[in-house]
Amino acid sequence: MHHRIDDRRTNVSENNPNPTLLSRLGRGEADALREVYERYADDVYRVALRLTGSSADAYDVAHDVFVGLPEAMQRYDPNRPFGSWLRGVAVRTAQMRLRSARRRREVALPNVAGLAVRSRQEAVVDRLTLEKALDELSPDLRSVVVLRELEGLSYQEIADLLGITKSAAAVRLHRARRRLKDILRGNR
Amino acid sequence: MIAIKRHPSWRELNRLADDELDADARGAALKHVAACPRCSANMSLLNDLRVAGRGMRHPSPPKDLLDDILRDRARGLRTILPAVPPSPRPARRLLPAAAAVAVIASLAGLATLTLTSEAGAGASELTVDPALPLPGERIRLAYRPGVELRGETELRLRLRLRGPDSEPPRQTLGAYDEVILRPDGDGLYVGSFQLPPDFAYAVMAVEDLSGARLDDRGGRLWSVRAHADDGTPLPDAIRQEFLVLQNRSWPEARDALHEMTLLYPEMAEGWSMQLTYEDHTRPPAEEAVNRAGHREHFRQLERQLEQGNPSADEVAAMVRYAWALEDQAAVEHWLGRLEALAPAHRLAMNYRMVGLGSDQVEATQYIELLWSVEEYRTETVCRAGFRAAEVANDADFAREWATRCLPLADDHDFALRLALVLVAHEETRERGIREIRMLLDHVSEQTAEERPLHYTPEEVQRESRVLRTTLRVGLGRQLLDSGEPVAAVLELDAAEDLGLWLPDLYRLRLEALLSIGDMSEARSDFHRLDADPVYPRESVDSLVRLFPSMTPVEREEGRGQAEDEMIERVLDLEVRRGLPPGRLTTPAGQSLALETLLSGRPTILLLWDRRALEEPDDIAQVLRATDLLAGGPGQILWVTPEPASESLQSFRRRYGLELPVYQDPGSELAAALGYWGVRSYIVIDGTGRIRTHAHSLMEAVRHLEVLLLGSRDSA
Repeated sequence: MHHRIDDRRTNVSENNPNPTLLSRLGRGEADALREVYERYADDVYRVALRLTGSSADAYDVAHDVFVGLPEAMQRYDPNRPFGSWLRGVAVRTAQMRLRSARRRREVALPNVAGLAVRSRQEAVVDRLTLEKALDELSPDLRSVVVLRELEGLSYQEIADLLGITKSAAAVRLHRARRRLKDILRGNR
Repeated sequence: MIAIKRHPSWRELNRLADDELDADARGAALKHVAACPRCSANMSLLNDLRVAGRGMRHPSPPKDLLDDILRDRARGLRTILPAVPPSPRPARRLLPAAAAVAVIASLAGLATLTLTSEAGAGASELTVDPALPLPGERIRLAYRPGVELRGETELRLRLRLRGPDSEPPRQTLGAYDEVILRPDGDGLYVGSFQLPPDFAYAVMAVEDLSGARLDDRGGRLWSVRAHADDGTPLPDAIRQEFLVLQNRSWPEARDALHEMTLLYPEMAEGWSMQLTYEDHTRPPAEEAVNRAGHREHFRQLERQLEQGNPSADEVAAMVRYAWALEDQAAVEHWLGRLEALAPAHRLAMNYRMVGLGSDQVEATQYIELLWSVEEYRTETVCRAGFRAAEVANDADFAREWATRCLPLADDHDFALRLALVLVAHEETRERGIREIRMLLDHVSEQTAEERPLHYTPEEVQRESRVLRTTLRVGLGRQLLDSGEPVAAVLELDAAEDLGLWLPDLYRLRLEALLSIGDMSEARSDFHRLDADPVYPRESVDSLVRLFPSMTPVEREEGRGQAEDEMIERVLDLEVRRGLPPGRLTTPAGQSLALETLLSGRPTILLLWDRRALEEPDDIAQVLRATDLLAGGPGQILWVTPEPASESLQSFRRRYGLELPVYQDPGSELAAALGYWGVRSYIVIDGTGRIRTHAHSLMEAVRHLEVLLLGSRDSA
């Protein structure tokens, strides 16, 4: 179920849920939560999975986001696209989880250098390699790569989502790509 | 400068991948990428990342997730979700302009680092036959190796050849050449070499064919001079010898000048240089008598030259001699003759530039006039013009001279200064950046082939890293000053990748990151500054207020990680070689072996002749270093060629210098250590091994502290 990323982003931003649904969600009505879940759970789970790299963590992130969503609606600005805002909440929640998970981590990360790209002829960074390499990045750097390369967001959209400046988004993206380059070529 | 096809930077490739380059830049970058395997591979990687990213699996959430959510909410479970924060405002600049200049000044000093190799085996010998060769003559070389180089099938003798005009500050200090030496069956390695027709002087070292082990005669190198038919060394040879020795060994340099005045008393050059050097070392009581003798000699030379037809260099030597004698009228007289004879002579312009007998406006007009004549469009004129613009603090004028000079600049420091002037202005920024990238390529590609005699290939790589770091940090600082913080950060990132530990870089980058509002990334640099043992604590205390949400635990964790990084980087640049034997004299006149003085303690040998250079900053650094090491196991020993005297003791008392001072008679130990320059900082570990030649006293203190951390001391 691959979407063209730009199409998907456009759909989300143009089709805000109706205000009544969002009001009911804010009051914690289960039916409203179910309806919002069915519409946005894929997006939330996908971004959580890509950021955390773990289906267990993605599950927990999506769980926490939707459990806390009705209360968080107090902070939602109805003039903003709901889908983007919700994705931002998911990104922040995933980042928090990643930070605490990294502090807990005791086992060394797998060496992905063996999966590294060797030459242009075989220069296909496959999905598995990228997933493992992403796991080596700090949460901040991982987030910008995911949002840019996987979610297809612009620098400004990344900046808005992460609450950083566009310049900071550009710096982090360049840093992240360079780090990935080193990891994939075994130059860490 | 050698033009080199420039590779797009990582940032440019990223912008190309993100379609953020303008049409012209995009076209040029694509054209390069198509033809360049390295950039093509990088570009492919960026594209592959995107393709792989967008092809990643996209599973739906597990079916039981919704039920869990609804059930947990029904049970009253609530989560507090993080808010999406508003985009931050950029922070104001933190670093005062003067401090920023200081950062660069301290880094620029890195570029002058001299790394010496293992002190060679003392028993080695090199014989040159004939001993008094003529320019253009073939010489035979016979080398008897010490322990280190015995048993090799072949050895390589490397020479650095200097001609009559090889003169600093230009980098035309001669050319490298080499001779393969082969065993003659009698324990000697022999070879021969044809001296060039314009040969004046050469220094030599011997190494194995890999270059990893070298004998540089304990840092002193071997030398050969050009002679006349009657066996007298040529004045050009003595001058070149002096130029080589003046930064290494003052006693030997002075001997060369003495020889020149004995053999060539009619040449003002030797006398003027001798007077200048005597001023540094002669007791004040003798100075008046000495100067009177020089004045008399100067008058004799004047009478001889007035009757003849002196060359420009002879006239220039008279200007220097008059200047050393502080005879203003004579300076004006001989300077006038020099300008008439050779208006673009370096000395003439230098005197114009220091405003000797003229003002800055007049000096500027003079240089512009020179530039208007095609034959005077030289690197020397360019330097003078650029300096005039700097003195006048005129940015437009400086940019104009920078544009003129860049094609003529023949050393990296000068080219960097020129390029940074272009980077500072929006209209010329791209060109300035391009020039610096060309310099980086040039440094990467050239240092290996012009390896100084003292350096192993590994040490050349280290120096190249230092130089490239200097270039990149210089560019990063200028980009930050020019309102380009993103480009500045990326440039500083690239500088950091070269592996040095540089608090000044971290401070600069922290500022750049704060200016784009990225507190999170800036915090890493804060941790590095926090971990650095010599970075001023008051600055760290001031910076920590910028991170109010950082907990003490987070700070401690970050500092610990940064400390590990520091240890790795600092130790990576180590020289690690044995300490040559040596003796020092205590103030009471007792001669002690160096090992006795070290007594197994990690030590900084501070080689400093305060008579040669006494600057407030030197004293402040020594005081600070002793404070930092106070109470710990590390120590600083001050080593000077200056004999113990009341003057020296008074100097110590005046400034509260409590560190022990020892005399190195004849600078024997300093020479054996490869002591170059007027100050040197050598770090020795507890086992008596040299760990590094630091670029500054603070760097030496940091290195000592890293050794004391102990984690890799025994590695």
